[in-house]
Parts: sequence; structure tokens; C-alpha cells
Amino acid sequence: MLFRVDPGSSVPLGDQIAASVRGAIADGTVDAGERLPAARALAASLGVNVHTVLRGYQRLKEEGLIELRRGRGAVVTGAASPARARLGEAAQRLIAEARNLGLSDEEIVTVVRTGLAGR
Amino acid sequence: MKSAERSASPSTGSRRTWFAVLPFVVVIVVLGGLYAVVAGRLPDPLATHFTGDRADGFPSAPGFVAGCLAVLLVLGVGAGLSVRLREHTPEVPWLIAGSCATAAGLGYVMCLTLLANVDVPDPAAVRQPLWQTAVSLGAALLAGVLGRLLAGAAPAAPRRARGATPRLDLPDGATAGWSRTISSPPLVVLGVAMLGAGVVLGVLAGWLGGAGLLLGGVAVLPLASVRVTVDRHGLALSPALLPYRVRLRRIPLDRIVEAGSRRIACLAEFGGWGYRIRAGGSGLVLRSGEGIVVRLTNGREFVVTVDDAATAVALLNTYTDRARARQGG
Repeated sequence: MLFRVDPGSSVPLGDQIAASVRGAIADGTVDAGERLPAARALAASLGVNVHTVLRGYQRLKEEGLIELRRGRGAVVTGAASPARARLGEAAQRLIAEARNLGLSDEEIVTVVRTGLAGR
Repeated sequence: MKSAERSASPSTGSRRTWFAVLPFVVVIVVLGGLYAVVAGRLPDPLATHFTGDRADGFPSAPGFVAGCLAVLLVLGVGAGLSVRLREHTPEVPWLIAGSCATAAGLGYVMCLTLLANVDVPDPAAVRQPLWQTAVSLGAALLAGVLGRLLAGAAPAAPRRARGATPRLDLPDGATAGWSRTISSPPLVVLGVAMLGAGVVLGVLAGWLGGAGLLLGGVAVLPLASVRVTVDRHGLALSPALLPYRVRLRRIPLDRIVEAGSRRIACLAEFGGWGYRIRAGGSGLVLRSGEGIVVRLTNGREFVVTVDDAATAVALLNTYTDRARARQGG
């Protein structure tokens, strides 16, 4: 799978790495069970700090797309479907748009909660 | 593998295979037909082996014919398989010529032996003039030349990715890395089995014997699962099970002329699986199918079979371009 990072972008590098994985799961390039490269290896590849990579991996773990296991590294979970990854992408777009409007994190959560309450 | 070869040359591949098999089929039909016609007029046993011009070998007639047919059948299948497995190599026309010559020479001698026995009351009296040996060799040579002419020019090698190779749309400041693992379950099983057998043998029969198997297992396992990485440094292969700093092979950007992707047939191109070295190139081929083909500055090729090779190739070419631009400017 392809990882892209652009230091010139306003998106944090860790999030860019997470977005690469999300995109690869969304378009079916990467299937469940695929092992992501070790954080150190990817950091050396991209010329970024290893903590940056780990931050990206941590985000993916929180979204349920990968599992982080000591010794086994990062593995794409069985629950990670293309649709699930696309949902994550949609959430990222929502957040980016809200931030552009100058909304705070609290206000963004409120927007989502309001949407849920309307159901 | 087969489908890949077929798509490269849908008809010529199987036609060449038939060219190699056909001479044997013809000889089998002729010999069988001849036996059916003359069976009633043959003595038992037959005179089939001659020293000088005198007969000194006497098998039964059906046994002799069955033996001849079996030899022809095995040779025919062997010829067909050897052409099938190396459809794209220059030796194919010569394989066809060889099978024509063999079939003609053998067929001539076999038919001649049968004919010499027709209407002979005593097989010991059968004579075979020595000049017939020369005639059979002549027939073989003629058939070989004919076969070589029929086979035509050596088949073209599979098309290589060249010219318009894709590039990745990567802004100047941005970096990208591509990474994927390839695994070969048979190699994993083989490696683990060798390790296990080595330990058992070591415990039961002494560690000197076990060490060989253990070494074999240690040599096989790192190749069983390999991570292929393309990044700003170039192309790298490292065993997936070992720390990432351990490399099987690393090709820096300045050694790369261009990369392409194509379908790779392990058996036909490399004669097997694993880390292969052949004339003009080397590579890690764990399965047939999609793979990265890198043309190196020393004129050799490096091949690795891996999924999504097109993306890897686009990135590798993008970085090769960048490295060249940096050197030029």
C-alpha cells in the first residue's frame, strides 16, 4: 500500500499516514489481515519521526481499522471493511469543514449530536 | 501462469507444443498401423537386435511393439512438456527440431525391424544391412532440418514494459513510501519442517547431522515471507519476520534505469520459485503473476513478484526521475 505525506499540508503528518491506510482499505488495495510496515521502518522510509507514525497508527486503532500488538506490529482488522474506512474518511471531511468554519471541537460534537437527536 | 502465457501468445504457444508432439504421434500411428497389417506374418519371437548384420535379440512380437509404443509415448509427452514449460525461450525451435529427428530416426528403425521380420520362418536368419544405420541417421537429420524450418524463428520474449511507464502524481515537497508483504505458504511449511526435522535429528542422531537441516531451515524461512518496500532510497526486500534493518536485497535509486510491471511466469522464466539467478537477471519469485521488473544500470534485470506492482513501479520511477534531476541540476 502507498503512504503519502506532504509536510507542506496543514493536516498533521500522523493524520496523513492514517489517511493513506484508510484510503487503501476504502479502495480495496488492502484487505483484512494485511500487516502494515513496522513503525520504525515506515518512519525511515518517509523520513518522519517514529512517533508521528505511531500517532497515525494509534488513530487507526481508535477507529477500529487496525490492531496494534506487541511483536506482531499493526494488522488490519477483520472489522475493517471498505465501507467502514469510507465512513472514517467522511468523518475527517466533516471535521475539516467544521474547522474551516472556525468551530471548536465541542461545537463539532454538538453538531453531530444534534444530527443524532433529530432521528 | 498458463493464462498469462496464453494472453501473450494465444495460438503460437499451443501450436509449438503440438509441433513437438506431432512427430511422435505420427510415428505411433504408422508403427501401430504397420503392426496391425503384418501381425499375422511375423515369426515369434522377432529378431530385433543386430550385431554387425546378424540378429542376436529376440523378444516376442507384441512385447516389442508395446515397448516401442511406450518409448515413443514417453518421449512425445516429454517433448510436449518441455516446449510448454519454456514457450518463450530461444531453444524452443531446436526442441521441436530435436523431437522431429528423434521420432523419425526411431520410427524408421522400428518399422524397418518389423518389415525385416515379415514372412521369415526363422528369426535367427533375419539380416539387417549396416547401411540401414546410415539411412536412419539420414532420415533423422532430414526430419530435424524440416522440423527446424517448420518451427520458424525463435519466439519473441514477453513484452517488456518500456516507453510510457506511469509516474505517480507526487508534489515536489511530498514524500511517499510503498510497502507490501509477499508470502509463500509452501516455503513456510518447508522451512518449519526442516527446522523441526533438524532438531529431531540432532536429538536422536547427533547434532552434526541436524545442523545441516537447521541451516537449511534458517536459509529458507527468511525467504518465505518478504516485505517489499519502495521509497526515497530505492527498492528494498527484507524478511518480514526479522527486524526491518535486515535486508535481503537493496537497490538504490542511482542503480535503476527504469522500472516496469508485467506478468511473470516463475517456471518458464526462472525455472522455479524462490530467490533465482539466471542469465541477464535475478529476482525473488514466490508465485507467478504480477511483478515489478527493474532495469539496472549494469544492464541486468531485477524481478520481484508482488501484488499492486503498478503502484510500486510508478513511485519507483517518480523517485528515479527526481534523483536524476538532482544529479543533473
